[in-house]
Amino acid sequence: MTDRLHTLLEDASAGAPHDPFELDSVISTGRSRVRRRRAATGLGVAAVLGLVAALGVSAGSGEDPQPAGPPQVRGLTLDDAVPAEPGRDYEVLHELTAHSSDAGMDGDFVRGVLPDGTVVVERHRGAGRQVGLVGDEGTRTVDAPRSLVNYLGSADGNPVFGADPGGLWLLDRQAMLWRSVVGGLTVDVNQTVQPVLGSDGRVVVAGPELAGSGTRELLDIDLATGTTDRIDEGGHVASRNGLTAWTDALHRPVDTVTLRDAVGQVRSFDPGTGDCVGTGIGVTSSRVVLMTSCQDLGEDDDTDVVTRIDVFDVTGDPVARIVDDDGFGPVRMSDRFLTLTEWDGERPGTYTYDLETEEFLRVTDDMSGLAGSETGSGDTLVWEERLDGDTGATYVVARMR
Amino acid sequence: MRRRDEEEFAEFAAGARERLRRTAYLMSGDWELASDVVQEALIRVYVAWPRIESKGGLPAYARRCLVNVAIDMSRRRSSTELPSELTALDRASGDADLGVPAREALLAALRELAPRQRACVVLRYFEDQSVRDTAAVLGCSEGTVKSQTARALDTLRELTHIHDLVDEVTR
Repeated sequence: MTDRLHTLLEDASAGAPHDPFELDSVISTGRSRVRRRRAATGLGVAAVLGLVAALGVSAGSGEDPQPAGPPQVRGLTLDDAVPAEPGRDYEVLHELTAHSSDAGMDGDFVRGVLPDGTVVVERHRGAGRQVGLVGDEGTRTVDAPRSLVNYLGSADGNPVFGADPGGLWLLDRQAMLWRSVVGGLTVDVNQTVQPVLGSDGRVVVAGPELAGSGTRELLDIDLATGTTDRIDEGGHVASRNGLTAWTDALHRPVDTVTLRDAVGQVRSFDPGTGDCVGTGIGVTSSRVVLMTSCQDLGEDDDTDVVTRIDVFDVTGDPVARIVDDDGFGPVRMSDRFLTLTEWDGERPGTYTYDLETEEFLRVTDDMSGLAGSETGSGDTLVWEERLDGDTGATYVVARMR
Repeated sequence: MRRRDEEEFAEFAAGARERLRRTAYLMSGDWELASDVVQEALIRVYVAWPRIESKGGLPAYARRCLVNVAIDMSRRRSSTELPSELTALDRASGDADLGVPAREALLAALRELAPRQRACVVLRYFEDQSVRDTAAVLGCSEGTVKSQTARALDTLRELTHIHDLVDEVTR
């Protein structure tokens, strides 16, 4: 069975022509990169390197091989999105409904999707509040702790929520039991773009803003022991599967984005976003996404409104830039999709940018006021459509093709 | 890097590069590009070498670098730069057991896949990596590996030459 496909692939890659590989060249280039990194760290020239990178020119063009040439940066607006079609572009897996009005909340509010496709909902029935896991075999529910707040993501397949006033709640989905993690620790549970996704039983969170500094402590927590390691002091942070990315500060232009990989290797780059103020960051195994607000700042301006989204690869090379001068609605991100919402203007609706294929789709012309931070996982995407005016939402959970 | 570390790196690179190059070839469909991918991946391994505490994890780390480089390079190449599979096949013919039509069909089919789907097929069925290890290399969940692999095999199944084979794999 699999042996035959293995053999086919072995044969297809056999008979290689002469390999021009030169070990000395690899080592000399590696040495120069190590030297350059040390110099950049010591002399603070990372900004210069990043600027060069942002211009699409190799920072080490005199030393490093760049066989594929400079990166192509793709400029996008919402006008570039292609309308998605059911069947061709996606298959609907679940439709869940919820209402929120002065009379209260009722229904299943989708909060996220676990890596195996299970949908995490917050279920309101009268005064009761439960967390439910919706899968192919039905829904399992458990009463929500009173202090439970935002859904933050998953760690080893278990949902993780924030706790008010501090700490985390982890739901052991096998036993359907809650476990409080680092209850005494105050963490920011209002971070943009789903920051907490761990690997090996760890999650990365940010502490509260340090007074007057525009920064906060970025923490790496072992969920089993509660042991907390300080990563750095910085601004927005995101982590996924061992790769962690953070900006240098909050509420001001982003000079530096830093990346730490699973083996602890750290690199920094200047995102080249000029005077635009950083509002959030996201990361996948191969992409870093930086959200900024480029509005002309006046007293009445809301600098949390995202007007520009820059996508980079993990070396800091720019891949794409999506711009909406009117400002996007909620921006959400999974390990594959960036989901954008346009509330007003000429192109209202929900859009998705596939970070793997770079496809840009408009999944619906509709939107609901209940849209929040929920996002999908893997091939699964979540979006909302209006239900009963502005008081309700139909959450569409779909498998993208 | 200390001399001793550099010697160990050289030994690792010499032992790993042939297999990495074949993996890169299946990812890119072009031997010259595969050589570039391997070179860049090994440079990244060199830079990370002092920080890699468990040398037992080196093959996986090198594979991860290789796949990331290959995916990024495939993004950067314009459609006019895509290699002719016939040219690549001509260069690759050698003494392989596989007939040219089937080889051509397989390489062309791999090129039809999205880069990460292609990586799933190559890692799972060429490198014989488990779902868990493939997820670690790609930095995604095991569920994503399963679904990406299934979609890739669906696409491959549509190809006449290897239809039966893929059916066997997924049966």
